[in-house]
Amino acid sequence: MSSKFGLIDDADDAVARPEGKIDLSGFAPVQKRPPIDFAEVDAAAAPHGFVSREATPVLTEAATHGRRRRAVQSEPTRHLAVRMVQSQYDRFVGYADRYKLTYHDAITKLLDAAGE
Amino acid sequence: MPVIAVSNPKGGAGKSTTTLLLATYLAQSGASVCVLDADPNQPIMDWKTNGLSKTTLKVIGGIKESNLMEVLDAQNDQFVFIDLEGTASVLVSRSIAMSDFVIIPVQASAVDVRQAGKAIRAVKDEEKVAQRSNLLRKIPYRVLMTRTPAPGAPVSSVQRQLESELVDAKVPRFRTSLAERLAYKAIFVERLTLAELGEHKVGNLEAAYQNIHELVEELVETLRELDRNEVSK
Repeated sequence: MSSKFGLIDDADDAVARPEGKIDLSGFAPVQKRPPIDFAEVDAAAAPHGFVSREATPVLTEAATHGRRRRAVQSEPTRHLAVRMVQSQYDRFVGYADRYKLTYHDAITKLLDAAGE
Repeated sequence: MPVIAVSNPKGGAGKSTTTLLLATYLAQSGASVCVLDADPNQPIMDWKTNGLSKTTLKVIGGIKESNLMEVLDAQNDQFVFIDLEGTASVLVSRSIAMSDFVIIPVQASAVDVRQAGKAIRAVKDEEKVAQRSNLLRKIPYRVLMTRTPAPGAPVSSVQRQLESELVDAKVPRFRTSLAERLAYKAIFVERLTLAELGEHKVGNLEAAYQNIHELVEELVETLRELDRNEVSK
């Protein structure tokens, strides 16, 4: 008898729980994911409002003062304004900062690397 | 096999509750289970680190856009759940892209269902992106109705309308719903599993237990079926 007034017996109170009856055989451990291009993933989700909610890393003074401005252009210049998703922006600016390149030099370097 | 994302950009839809109930029940049934807590509020990490539960469930917190792939690659459990934040973010879309299955918990409210639509569209678009490198890649999903009236209690006309709209739109959903139960709130208050709540005498614990058992059964059955379909291709 387990209740305060002895009116309820443990055996009466016990309800059979369906514990442990689920067959979980055949579920192998999670495998390593194939590589995913996050830039493509982010671009697909952006139109549905899925944008980065994480703060952009604050650039240190050393990182922001590393690039050199080219004083004289050897040919006429054009403007290219590009709107892109945050992750692409972070990758591109991170790349330019890492190699201390101006943005136009970074584009040139990437084009050269792609053989264009 | 499965990495399971639990996602709805609407807050309060029952993502963490669903994740914790499913994960702890599977762990208790003998599976090795891990939860990646990708909600900035870290509700499941708090449950695990500040509670006294003896569950074998592993919880990893601090999941960010930058470390998601690395953390996921380090896991070798049978089931990995990703509990996502209640907002549309890059972390959410990336998690969906890396998952084998997505659960979209939805309360019977128009706002919830509209936000769930956003998650569904994101799943479909992420699937298309993934198919560029692997034509057979699928990201299946199911909507899970949450906080529904207990069996036998009256169902609101709003819920009936929403359910019929889901059927009309051919949105796949779980047959089992997660009912509104005191016990589901209590697991976060007491920081225990449903099975460990026994002596706390919270509401109709047996009915809550039965509800989760049915949901886990349906989840396992669904995952097996999806696996069979993939193998047969």
